[in-house]
Amino acid sequence: MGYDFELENRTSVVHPASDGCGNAGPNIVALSIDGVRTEVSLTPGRLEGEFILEVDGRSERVFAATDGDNHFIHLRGRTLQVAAINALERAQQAAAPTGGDEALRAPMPGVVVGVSVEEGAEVETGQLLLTIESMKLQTAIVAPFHGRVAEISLEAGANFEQDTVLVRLEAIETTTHEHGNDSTEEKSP
Amino acid sequence: MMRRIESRVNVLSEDYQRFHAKNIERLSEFHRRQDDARFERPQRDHDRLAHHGKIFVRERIKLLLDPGTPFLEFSSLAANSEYDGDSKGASVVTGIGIVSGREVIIRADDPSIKGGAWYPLTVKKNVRCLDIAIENRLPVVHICDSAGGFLPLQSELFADQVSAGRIFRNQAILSKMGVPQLSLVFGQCTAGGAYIPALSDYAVILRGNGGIFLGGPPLVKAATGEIVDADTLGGADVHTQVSGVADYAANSEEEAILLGREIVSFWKRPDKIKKDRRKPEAPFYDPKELYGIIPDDIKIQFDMREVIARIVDGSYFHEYQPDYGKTLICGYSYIWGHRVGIIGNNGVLFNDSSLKGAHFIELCNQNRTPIVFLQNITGFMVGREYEARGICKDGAKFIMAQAGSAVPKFTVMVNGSFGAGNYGMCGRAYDGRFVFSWPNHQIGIMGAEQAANVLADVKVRQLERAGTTLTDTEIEEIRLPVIESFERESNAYYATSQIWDDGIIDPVDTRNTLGIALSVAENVPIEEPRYGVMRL
Repeated sequence: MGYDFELENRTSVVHPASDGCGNAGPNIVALSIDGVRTEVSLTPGRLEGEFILEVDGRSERVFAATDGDNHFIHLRGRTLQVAAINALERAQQAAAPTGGDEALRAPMPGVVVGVSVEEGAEVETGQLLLTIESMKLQTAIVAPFHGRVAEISLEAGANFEQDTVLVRLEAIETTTHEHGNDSTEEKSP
Repeated sequence: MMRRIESRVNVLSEDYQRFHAKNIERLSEFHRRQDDARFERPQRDHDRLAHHGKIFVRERIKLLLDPGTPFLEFSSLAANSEYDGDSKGASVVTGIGIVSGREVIIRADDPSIKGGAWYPLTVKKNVRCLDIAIENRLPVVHICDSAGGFLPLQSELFADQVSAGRIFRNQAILSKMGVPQLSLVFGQCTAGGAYIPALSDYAVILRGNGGIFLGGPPLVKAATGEIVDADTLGGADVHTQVSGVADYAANSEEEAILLGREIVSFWKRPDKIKKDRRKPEAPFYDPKELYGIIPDDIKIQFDMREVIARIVDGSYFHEYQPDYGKTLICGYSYIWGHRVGIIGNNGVLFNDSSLKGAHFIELCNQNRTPIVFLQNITGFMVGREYEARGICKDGAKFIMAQAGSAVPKFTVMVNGSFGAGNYGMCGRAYDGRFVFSWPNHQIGIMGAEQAANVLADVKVRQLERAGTTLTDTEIEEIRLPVIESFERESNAYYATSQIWDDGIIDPVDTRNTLGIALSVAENVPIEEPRYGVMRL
């Protein structure tokens, strides 16, 4: 696998190239960036975070600092922010199914404590739909995706069995500005 | 690079603000009570100490500790609900601190309260800190300054299995394990108390105030008629020059403490078990947001992932079985660079969540990974359907796996701990290395309302059989006292008073507390796990 980095809204996949044809010296790293092979030499400088970077025979002084997943690189008077992207998270988001019509069922028998939305209402992901109580515990039933409340049949105080449909949601098509965007660039995760 | 928990907390929401206000109120009550237990003493007690040239117990500990290092105090509010509040902190200070670069247990009598006399809960707190020393192979420094057992309550502190005798038994076990102990004798150690320095590998005794004898001058006079003063009977010079009961004499408390620090500096360092530690990283989300996450009402559910995100390194969490048994959150993470398995409640325990918990405990054992339990549990699910599906045997598997587990276990009482859920989630009975609680914690065999209803229902049916019916007012008269006593005895202060935990902590301190706990747990190799018969 490669390492994914985001720089100025562009995502690059960087592979350490260990294909055997590199004439790697002590500080030389062979990299494949978006499929293009490059050899760089990186020598630690005297100051903390200082490096001498050599690419194609040209030498530059760079400073690097890391804060969590963000790397800050100071080069030629500019500071660039390079964000490391978790590849697993990116893969999960890319493959995640979008919301369909969904019945939210009771996880256990209980009683409705409060209903927070009406039928027909548009709800955001995570918005409170109703509150139920069972086993001394109040649980919030929230919208798993952006949608419209198609059915909500129980009132406060009503008892229900396990698996009873509490709310039926229907998905609302993703917002228009994302659809109307002609750019082929993928939305960054 | 691990995946980070994505927090859904909205710090601007009404709920967050309301919870935050409530938890800040709870926290200030906790600090008020803790400051009182630690520092507030009647002036005459301060005067008495000053008259004898004694330093206050907190100052003694401060002098003993390496400057600028943390002290993890245990059960600072022990005995707060007993003995009319007389025995503040159960009259003894215990905890883990750093002395001469070594992690040690400090056990210091508090002579500002009834001459440091041991109440029954003082004995329990002493035994508990020595149990911690044994379980984690921690050396002990005793600062001895106790009048002895509190005689009006002697029957509650002397004879039972975990009564006073257990203190000396634990000292002997520690020594047998090769774990050193030092006693600094700053007061008179009489009768049983004399065995604390005698059973220590090293003892420093103070000239003047220090004394060690099996029977003090009044007892000697009563027993044999011999008239002798305390210093001649068991003072510093007798014991360091003649009897050999103590090893060094000191002329001031400060000198004795510095001598003690020098002794500790020659102790061997423990062989910590080899573990791959990561570079520690602060949580990505601010731990102070915990105040806005824990609800103001125990009935309101919250997502335990939000708590995990504010305890672990970088808020990274690898969740195991994210789509199965969702009322129990299981997964791996790091705390101060130590790899941990985390098991936290996200609702009632069902069949699937119990099985998931049992399985994850086995995985952590296979993986030699300590487990942190985050308790917020109302219990195992009840009802015809769940009984028919065998909730009892699935719950039994969870308890069996947890009790048979060999990796270090740590429990944090994040909110509620009710019924058998307490057992599965490594409650006090399950020999976790430490149990800490948050100020909002509640614990009991069942909730107050439920208990009141059960008892009222039993009474109503009893009387029905006798042909009497109760009015609503009469039923309320049965319910009310039950609710009152349950509420009083299920709150965090009552629990910590009884030493059902190792102390109440500020939620924000959870990460540091667990960091120290994980570090000391590494002194002991992890054994092979062995489980009993799982009812499959």
